[in-house]
Amino acid sequence: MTTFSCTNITRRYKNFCLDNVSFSMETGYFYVLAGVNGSGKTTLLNCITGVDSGFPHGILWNAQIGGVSLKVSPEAYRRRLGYVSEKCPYFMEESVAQNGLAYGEFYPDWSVRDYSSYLSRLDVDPSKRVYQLSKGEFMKMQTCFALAHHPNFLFLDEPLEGFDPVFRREFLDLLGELLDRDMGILLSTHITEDVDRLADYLLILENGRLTADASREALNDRYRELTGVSAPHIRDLLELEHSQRPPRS
Amino acid sequence: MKTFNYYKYEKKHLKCTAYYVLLAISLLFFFLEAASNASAAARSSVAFKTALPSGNSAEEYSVNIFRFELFFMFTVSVLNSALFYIREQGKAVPVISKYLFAPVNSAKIYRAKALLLLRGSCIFFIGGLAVYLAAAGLILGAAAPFLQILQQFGYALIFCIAAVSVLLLTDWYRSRHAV
Repeated sequence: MTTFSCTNITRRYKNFCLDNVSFSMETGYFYVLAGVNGSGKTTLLNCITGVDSGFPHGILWNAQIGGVSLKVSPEAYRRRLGYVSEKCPYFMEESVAQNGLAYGEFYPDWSVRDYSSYLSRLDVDPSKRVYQLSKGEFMKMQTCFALAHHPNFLFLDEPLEGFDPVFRREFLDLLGELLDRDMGILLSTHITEDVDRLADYLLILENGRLTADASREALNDRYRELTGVSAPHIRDLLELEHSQRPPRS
Repeated sequence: MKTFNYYKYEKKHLKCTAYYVLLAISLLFFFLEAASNASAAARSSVAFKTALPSGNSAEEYSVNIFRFELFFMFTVSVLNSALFYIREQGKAVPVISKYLFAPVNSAKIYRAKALLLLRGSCIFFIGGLAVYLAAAGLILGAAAPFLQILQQFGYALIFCIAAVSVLLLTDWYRSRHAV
């Protein structure tokens, strides 16, 4: 089992502030990062994956995977995670296969065989150039690449939006398999219906603040205490959290 | 764990046939130009010797440094472009921005690219100098004005260093703003 932890993740923009977010995760579990649009999900993912390093001075932040710190060894840290995001800047004019080979060299555990087998499983044509891929295919390709370097944690930023309903189910089945292989998954979404059956833990972001970080059962118990009935969906837990928080001044 | 060698990675992935073609054309052109200048100087020195036996034999031999610098700028710009930029959908994008999501140290990758650019520039400069010296030496022999050539290449070196520095600073600035 490997653990991920982050402390005091802070990012300030003119009209938005990700405010001292701290949480931890373990491999083998599925974490859902939920929140409405603009709550800071992508900003948080960019910060903990090392894509965005503009942390304010004077704040003692850190993120670690299995003891490897993003602050101390950013390259080694980033090798231990896979990040799937719509904004990943692959070589657009190169083929899916060429991109895999070019980026794979940065990961010591990257396997061309696994990459090609995931591509064929997710039905992505390796000879297609990246700019020719649809949004869904692009997310699939990135997932294949991330899985081919065998990360401890997989971070997915709203990956389900580009998928059709049939593939969504297949994709979630694949994520379920990864949990069995002791990989930790953090998936951000504002449409939570799809991940209802997989989610073990729920992280709720509200206007840049982490308002809930607990297991689904714990949040469900709280929901039952307050409403008298259990929450059938993550969406209900999200709505409750949202209604209980006063707007930030 | 073994440290990742960015220089090797960059060298392996560098696709710049245009640079090598331009380098070959430039060196060939320099050789032909130097050989023709040296032959002309040799012929005129024979004519001088006939008229004035004490005359300096190879004074007319000179290097067109402006042309050398022009060729240098053009060839090195092509290499710089191949190292630091990529054309995507008709736009030139700094390559370093492509490594944003990868476990890569942008400073190290920039350094590796800069070293490759310096290597390419040195090959051009030393190659050019060698061609001019060789042509002069072969045709004019001991009478070749080696010191004069070296002096002219000294000025060219200052220009080349300044040009490469400007290119590297521009690349650094553009890459920093793209990441």
